[in-house]
This record gives sequence, structure tokens and C-alpha cells, in this order.
Amino acid sequence: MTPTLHEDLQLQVRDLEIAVVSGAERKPVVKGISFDIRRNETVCLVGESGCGKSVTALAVMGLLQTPPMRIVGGEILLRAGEEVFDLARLDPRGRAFRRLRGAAVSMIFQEPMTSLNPVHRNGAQIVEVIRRHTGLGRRAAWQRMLEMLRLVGIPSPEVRARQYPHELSGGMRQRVMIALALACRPGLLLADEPTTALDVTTQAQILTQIRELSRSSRTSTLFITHDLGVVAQIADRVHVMYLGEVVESGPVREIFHRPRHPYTRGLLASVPSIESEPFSRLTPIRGTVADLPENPAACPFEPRCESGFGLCRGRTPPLFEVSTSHRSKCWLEQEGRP
Amino acid sequence: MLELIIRRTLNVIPICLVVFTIVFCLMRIAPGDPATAMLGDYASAEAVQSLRQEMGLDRPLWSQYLDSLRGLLHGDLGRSLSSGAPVSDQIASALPETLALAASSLAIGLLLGVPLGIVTAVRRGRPVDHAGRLFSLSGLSIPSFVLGILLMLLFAIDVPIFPAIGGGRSGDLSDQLLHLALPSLTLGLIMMAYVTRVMRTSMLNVLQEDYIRTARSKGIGELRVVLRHALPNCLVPLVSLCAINVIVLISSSVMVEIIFSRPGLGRLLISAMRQRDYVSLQSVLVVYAGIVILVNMTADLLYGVVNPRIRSR
Amino acid sequence: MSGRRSGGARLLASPSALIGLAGIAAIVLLAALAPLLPLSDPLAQQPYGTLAGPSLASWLGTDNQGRDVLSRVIFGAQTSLLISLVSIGLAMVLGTLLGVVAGYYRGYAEVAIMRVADSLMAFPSLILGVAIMAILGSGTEKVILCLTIVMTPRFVRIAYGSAMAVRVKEYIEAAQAVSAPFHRILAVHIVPNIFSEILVVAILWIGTAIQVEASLSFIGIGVSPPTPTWGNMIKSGLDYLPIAPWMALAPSAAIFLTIVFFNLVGDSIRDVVDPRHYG
Repeated sequence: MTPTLHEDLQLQVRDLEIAVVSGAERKPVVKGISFDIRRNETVCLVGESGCGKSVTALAVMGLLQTPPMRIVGGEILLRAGEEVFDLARLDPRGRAFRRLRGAAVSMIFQEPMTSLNPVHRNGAQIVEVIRRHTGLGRRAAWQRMLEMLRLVGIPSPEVRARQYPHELSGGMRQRVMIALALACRPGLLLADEPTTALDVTTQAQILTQIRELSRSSRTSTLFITHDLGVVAQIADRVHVMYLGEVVESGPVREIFHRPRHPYTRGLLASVPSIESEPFSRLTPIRGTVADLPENPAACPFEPRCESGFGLCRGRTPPLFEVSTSHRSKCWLEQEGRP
Repeated sequence: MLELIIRRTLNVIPICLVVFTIVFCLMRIAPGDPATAMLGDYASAEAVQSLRQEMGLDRPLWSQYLDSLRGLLHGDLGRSLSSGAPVSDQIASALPETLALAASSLAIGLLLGVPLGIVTAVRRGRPVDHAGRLFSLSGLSIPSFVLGILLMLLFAIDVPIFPAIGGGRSGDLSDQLLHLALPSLTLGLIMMAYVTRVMRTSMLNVLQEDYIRTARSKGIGELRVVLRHALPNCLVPLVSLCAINVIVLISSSVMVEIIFSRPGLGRLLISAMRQRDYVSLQSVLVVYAGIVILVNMTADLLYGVVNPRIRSR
Repeated sequence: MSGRRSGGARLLASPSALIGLAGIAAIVLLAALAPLLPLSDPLAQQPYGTLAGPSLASWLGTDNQGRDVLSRVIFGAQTSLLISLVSIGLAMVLGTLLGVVAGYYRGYAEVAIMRVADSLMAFPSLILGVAIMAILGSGTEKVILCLTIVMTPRFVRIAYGSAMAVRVKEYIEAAQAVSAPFHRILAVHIVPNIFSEILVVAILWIGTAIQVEASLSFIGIGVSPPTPTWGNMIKSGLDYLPIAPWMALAPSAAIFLTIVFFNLVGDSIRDVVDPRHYG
């Protein structure tokens, strides 16, 4: 049976569960999340470190550290050209997955300083992925690589291509990574905190670059970040994650102007914004990610929640529909509640 | 690159001088008089005296030191006290035997150890990894002469495939290679143990690196990830290991040459020591130290070849 | 993962460390208690029982002079262990001290100590050992002295590197600022910081010391016969290899196992101290 995917969608993740498996013990890292990405859309996964957002992206790439991590349930449906694949059922080491990786879906990583191989020249690292997936000859692949370097805004690409990664700055290296990821015009780009390690001015340039390139090459983007400023700049839709679950999702304007879930509100309140009153206090979310409720069936955010009530300690809330495009996983949304 | 070679060479000169000085001093504080040793205990005092004069032993130490150093630079190492033959000739005939042994063992160690190290790292925790680790532990723990005796017992006495002793007839290459088999296998297996271990460790480290994840994200096969992306990054630790272990190898070659009666530097060293032939002994020691210094220098240069970050500096 | 457990506890949790420790304990006990064990005199010759194969009377056979091989292997352990442990201990203390002085004081002390150490390291250890024994002449104390000279430069190198690294950390600078005397800085700040590294290499180099000692007595310039050592037993066994292989094989196995045990312990400690090595 071939999986089917709505024609508007590039990626659909359904009830994805990932766990650290050691022996008979299973420690869940991602607890049944669902989200989708439309064609040419940029979707942000937002959350504190350790909430499972990077793991989700690695699962889509088939690059989970197995063992100990493993997909234990759910589907990852990816469109690749005319076909649709369920990546959760594909062997990550298998030939079929390798044909998709780098071609239909590719990834930019957080650490530009260590993500390029120090013993190979910059150009050769991009040429490798082009030749792997396009069947272009050596010379044609080289030309395509130069074109990619030019597209990501690297000056004198012929020179840079012949240099080694250590001869480039962090921003330049991240540009090389972007060129590498987009070289085979993938339908889906995963960007895992690609600007976190860079200084602020470089950050802005790289963000613009990613946005423009993915728009012009009709690539959908899953952008992972903990930085709400970045989200505001780049996202069409946002999914907020907390402890391996999506707690709120919706269009970016909705999330910023009408946040529903107490966690999202907390995140927004802890970030300074241009509109906030000068000298007004930022309010951090109380507690830490490590604070878990005593009752395992309770809402996981309850110990840190400002607006929790009795029901929260008893049962985990389902994902309530706030509007057709906006959902929140909080008992506050239940009908008859304020 | 040329500049690097010149700079390294200049760095090495003071070490060479100190080494030579140490050897010279060692030989002067050694008990016994070379002239007496040469003529035997029953020689007349006059004969000893005139020989001392002839050998320059009556002159002040510093002038003997300078003479020695000058001779070394001109390739004149003096005459052996026991045979009277020029020491440089003795060394010229022994050195190739030792170098052939060292080179062939190094080749065996690298050709077998690198693949085994890669396989044990990639299959970490599997049976082949356990077997590989047991093998390296044994190889690291067995003294060369013990392994040599074991191999001799197995392949020259119980199942006589290879000759047990000697260096082979001179001029007969196949005979010489046949005689080289067991000695180089002895040292080669030990070398292989070291190489396997360091290769496994550095491969495990490199496979954790971010750029390996990048390589995998390109959709290339795991074999290509290991060989093209991981392996070149393992070469730096491998080169420094080889430098250290070639020195261990040279040490062990002495024992192997004794066991298999090979006419190499090791035998020259031991016979010079037994016969209190200080002239030969001094030269052999200097040659050994020279080999070590050369090996270290080569390793320094190889770092630049395997690591672009050093090369461009 | 197990960061909260102490190093010692993690060491004892590793089977290879346990095997190594048990093996070393067994060998040390056998060697120490050798005179009390029901063994035949390792020096007693029996003209009519030469080159006898392993039997109930002599488990590992007899040698060319009719001496009991098992008894000689066990008494040989005394000599080998004594020499290697004492010389490694001396080299460790001396080398650490010199290395720390060089790394801490810099200047002339550094140049002098490190030049000599580097030059001595230019000689392969066995070859340096042979040269030194040529001067000293044979005997147990002389082998100890020789091995100490051979091993010291290695400890100097390690201690020097570690002392330089520790030196740049500010707590030393803080200690200097209140001008603590050198021996106090050494005892309180430097040695505790480099101790684990030094201990690991010391344990691993015990194996090297045993090898060099055995090689020297194999060559015939170490401890002189008739005192049994593993090296000189192998040497005399080599001549009888085709007819009485046990003569060489028994002491060979003893050397091999002893070094294996020390390496198992050294590797396990290193895995605890520096997990990046992946043992």
C-alpha cells in the first residue's frame, strides 16, 4: 500500500513517537506529535532545548542515533516528486532512503564550525552531493556548485571553492552548508538552529538568504529554533513544542498576537520586543524543563503553569481547536471555561 | 613545504649534538681501557701505551671529542677494536638488514591493522570488535622475543615452512625474503596490534563528529562515509602513533635479530658490547639515535601532508 | 551517564579491571609466598632428571640441568616484579619532580632538563638500556638503576606537559599571588591535578619495564645466572626449543600474562579517567 498525502502538503508527520530504547526500557523523547508543512511554506518548531525539536528533524532525515534512539510509532509522509514515502517505515540505512536524503530532503545543522569536513575542499563537498543525486559529470557538477555558491552570496566562488573550511569564517561556512543543502533543489529543507552559533549581523543575513532561496526554489522549510525573534521574521506557521509534545500551533500572526497556551504566553513574555514598554520587566517562566508533575497522567506543563487548576493535575488535555487554523493543548480551551 | 623541511632540520641539529655528546660521555665513563681491551690482558705496558697514543687516547678529552665529531661528519667512524675493520663498513652492511626488517614489519602492521581497526570501530560491540580488542591486547602485551620464539616453534620447527635462522644467502633475493618472513611477521603482528587499537579509537571519535552527520545527510553510502570522510581524519593520530611505534619497533628489532640470528644492527650492538668494542658501540648507538630522530622528523612532515590546517600555516 | 559514581566504583564495575587486578594479586602473592610454597629448590640440579616433560612431579617439566621449571618461573616472578615495580616507582617520583620543576620554573632549568630528557628519548628504550648496562655491569641493583634511567625521561615528558597546562590555570596564579612556597604549590595544586594521568602511564609502563628487564637478561647482561629470571630462562630454553619447548614456553607465558594483567588495569583506569579513549 502506497501512502497518500494531500496534494497541498510537502510533509505530514502523524503521531510520531521517538524513544531512547535500552534493553526493555523505553524513555519517550517525542510523544506522538503531528504537524504538516504545505508546499513552499516555512514552518517553525519552537521550544526550549531538550523539547525534542532537533530529534524530530533528525528522524525526518533518517539520521537518528540508532541505537539508542528509535522511531516507535507514527508516520512521516514526504512528497518526493510524484511519489510519497513513509519515512518512518523506510530503513534509514537502506538504498531507498539514501536516494531521498540530500535530494528530496536535506538539512542545515547548528554548528557551521564543525559541520564541514576539515580535510576536503569546500567545493568538493558540494560537488559530491550533486554528483550523487543528479548524474551530472565532473565539470557540470563543478559549474552547478559555483552557481550555488554565488546564489548564497559567497564572493569569488572560484577561490572559495578551492579553499578548505578552516579558511572561511563561520558565516561563510554556514553559507557553504546552505549551498550544499539546496544544491539538489530538495522539496523540503530542514534547518536546525542554523543561525544560533553566528553573530547578530551574520544571523540576519543568513536568515534572509534561507528565506529567499527556499522561496525562489519552491522549497518548503522546517525551521527549528528557540528564538522567537527568528520565528517572527521567517515563519508562516508555528508549532510550539514542550517536552516532546506540540502544545500550540497556528499561523505566525495568531501565535504572536493571540497566544492561547500558557507556555506560549510565557515564552513571549520572556522576550523583549520593540513594542513593549521601555524599562518594563521581562517575566521568565517559573521553574525549569526538568520540573515534572507528580501524576504522570497530568498536564506536563502543570508544575510551571500560571493558570493551572484542578483538572490539569488529573488529566493531560487534548489538542483543542481554537479556530480552524489554531490549536492549543490546554484545558483552558474547554467549552464553558473562561 | 621546502621551508618546513629546512626549519625542522635546523631544529634537529641541537638534539643531534646532545645525543652525540651523551654517547661520547657514556663511552668514556665505561669501565676498562679500550687499548687494553684490544690487546688483551697480557699485553705489555709499553704496547698498551703506544696503542693509546696511536688511538689518541692520551690527548685531552675535548680534543678527542672534536676529533670524533669531525670523523662522524666525514663518515669516518674509526676502526673496530675487535676486528680492525672500518666501523662504517660494518654499519653499511648491517643497516640495510635492520631497515628491511623495520620497513616490512611496518608495512604488515599498517596493511592489516588499519582495516581491522576500521572494522572493529564500525562494528563496535559486535563479536568482531571483541575479537579485535583481544588481539590488540595480546599484541601489546607480548614481548617481541616471546612472539618470535612462538612463531619459530610453529612455522620453523613444528611445521617447517620458513627457515628459522640467518639472513639468507647474499645476492639471492628470494632466499633473503624467505628468511625475512618470520622476523617481519613477529614485529608486524605487534605493530598491527598498536595500529588496530589507535585506528579503532580515533575512528570512534571521528564518527561522532558533526561533519560525518553532514556526509550522511548527503545520502552517500556508509562505506563511502567511512572511507572518504572519516578515514582521512584518522590519519593524524595514526602518523603520530607510527612515529612512536617505529621507535618501539627498532627496540624490538634488536631482540628479533638475536633470536633469528639476522646480521643486522642489533647483532652488531650486542657483539660490540660483549667485546667491549667502544668504537663500534659508540657508532651503533649514534646510528640508532639518528634513525629515531629521522623518524620523528618524517612524522612532523607527514602531519602537514595529512592535515590541511597545518599545511597552510 | 555514571558521572555521579566515583572513579573507583566504576573501575570495579569493569570486568577487565577485575580480571587484571585478580591476576596481579595472584602473581604478587605467588612471588611473595614462593619460599613457603611446596616447591622444589629452583637452583637444585638433578643430573638424572634433565629435560623431562611436564609430569605430576614437576608440572611444567625440568630444564637442561634438571631444575624444576615451575619453581623457577615462580621464583623468577620475584626478580621481575621487584625490578620493574621498584624502577617504575623511582622513575615516577624522579621524573614527575623534574618534569614539574621544568614546567613550573621555566628558564634554564626547563632548557637543561628537557634537552637531556628529549635526547635520552631519542634512544629506543632497550638500546639505551643495553648501553647503560655496558657501563654498569650486571646485577639486580644495576638493572634497577638502568631501568630507572631509561624510564625517567618518559615521566618527565608527561609531567612537564601536564604541569604547563595546570600552570596556566588561575588557581596556581592565585596561589603565587599570595606567594606560597614551591613545595606547597607542588603538593596542593600541581601533583593532585596530574596524579591520575601519571598513575595510568606508570601502570602501563610497568609492562614496558618487565619487557626491557626480560630482554636484558635474555641478552645476558641483566641479572646474572643462576638466579632465575624469566628472561634468562627463555634464553636457555631457546637452545632446547625443538626438544624441550616447555623450557622457553613456561616463562614466556608468565611474562605475557603479567603484562596482560597490568595492561588490563591500566586501560581500565584510563577509560575511567579519560572516557574519550573508548578502551
